[in-house]
Amino acid sequence: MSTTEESLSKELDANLPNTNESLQKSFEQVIESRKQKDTSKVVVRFRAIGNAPILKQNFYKITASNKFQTVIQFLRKELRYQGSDPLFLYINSAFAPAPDEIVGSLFKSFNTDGQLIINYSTMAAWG
Amino acid sequence: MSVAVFDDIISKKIWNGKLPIQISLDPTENHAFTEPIFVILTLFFSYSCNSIDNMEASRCSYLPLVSEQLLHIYNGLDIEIINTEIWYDYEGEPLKWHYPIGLLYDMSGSKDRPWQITVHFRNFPNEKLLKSPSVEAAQDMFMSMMKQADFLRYGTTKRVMNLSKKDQSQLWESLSLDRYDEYWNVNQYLISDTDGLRYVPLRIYLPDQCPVIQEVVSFTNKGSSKLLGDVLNDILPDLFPSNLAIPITHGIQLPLDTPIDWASQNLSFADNFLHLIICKSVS
Repeated sequence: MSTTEESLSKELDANLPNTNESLQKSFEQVIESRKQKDTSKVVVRFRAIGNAPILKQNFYKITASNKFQTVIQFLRKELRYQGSDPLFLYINSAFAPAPDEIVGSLFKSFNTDGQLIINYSTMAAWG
Repeated sequence: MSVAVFDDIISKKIWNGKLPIQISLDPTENHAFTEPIFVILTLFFSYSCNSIDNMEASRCSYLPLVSEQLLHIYNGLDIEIINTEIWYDYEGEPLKWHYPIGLLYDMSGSKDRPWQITVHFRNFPNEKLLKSPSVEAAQDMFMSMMKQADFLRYGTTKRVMNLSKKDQSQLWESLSLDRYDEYWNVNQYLISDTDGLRYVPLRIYLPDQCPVIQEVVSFTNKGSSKLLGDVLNDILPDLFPSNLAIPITHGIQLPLDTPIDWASQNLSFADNFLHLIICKSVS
């Protein structure tokens, strides 16, 4: 390259935006944005099985980012259950999610007609 | 539409994937033995403490099964462990006992061989781990995942529910005893149907305590085969396609042109879920 070309090239390098940094989020930025809590609400419908007490109200809206543990604690409170009273919760009469699963994900995967059906019983029903 | 072929060779390699582990005691916990000792264990489900070279855990297995082995060994040495709230940490981070061991290792970002983790018998971290890490609880969680996978895959859990009690138990027992054929004798009924496929049982893990991603992912794209890259582009468009990140499972970087139905058939863990970790690319 001639000296004019070289100095022009250097000037361009110095002044052009670095495409990676300015146009695209970094890996870390994407991760941060994924950590934002999903504040949308999903409809949960409780259904009693067997002798389990029936709630006066069985539809509730729950924030999507909550863990299933929150739903368990909420139901226990509504039923006025003590810590040692047995209570088992299932989705779609089929399985018991781990308490750390996210309500929003459960809703997306398993909702029926826009409701996440949660069955509850005082005895283990579906293992 | 492509019909995913079950690849026996790959499936066996996935099942047989093992991780060398070195478990050390927490020196701040007092035990019957006074010195903190490195307990180098063989965790082959036929335990024996012969050689330092032969200590491995199955990537598809779970920590409570490792604890069961530890208890056997300590009992054999006449060391009484009263507390059964056993938990493990890697570099201070408690390890989720209901996640497969291979997933935990890949999530940790550790490149250590053997993987050096610490076992604890006290001070169970209730805020960070689910309580009661027994083998029975791990089995319950495992069966719950199997049912979730069934429901996602076909829209009902009837395949799992129609298994006899004996067959249902056989799934977990064959995993805990490392019996590939016995596991697949049952599991073939759960995943070989190619009719009525709905959604891929898939979980995606991002670093840094991000919430686990489980989205609705169909097997095909308007009748034609869907690739892993398509799935990741739908779920994480900021990361795929780009050179920022790579998908890892069972310690391998997966090519983005892997058909998702093939991956689901052959690369799932024993719980019939694909567990994918997204790592930053090292470029």
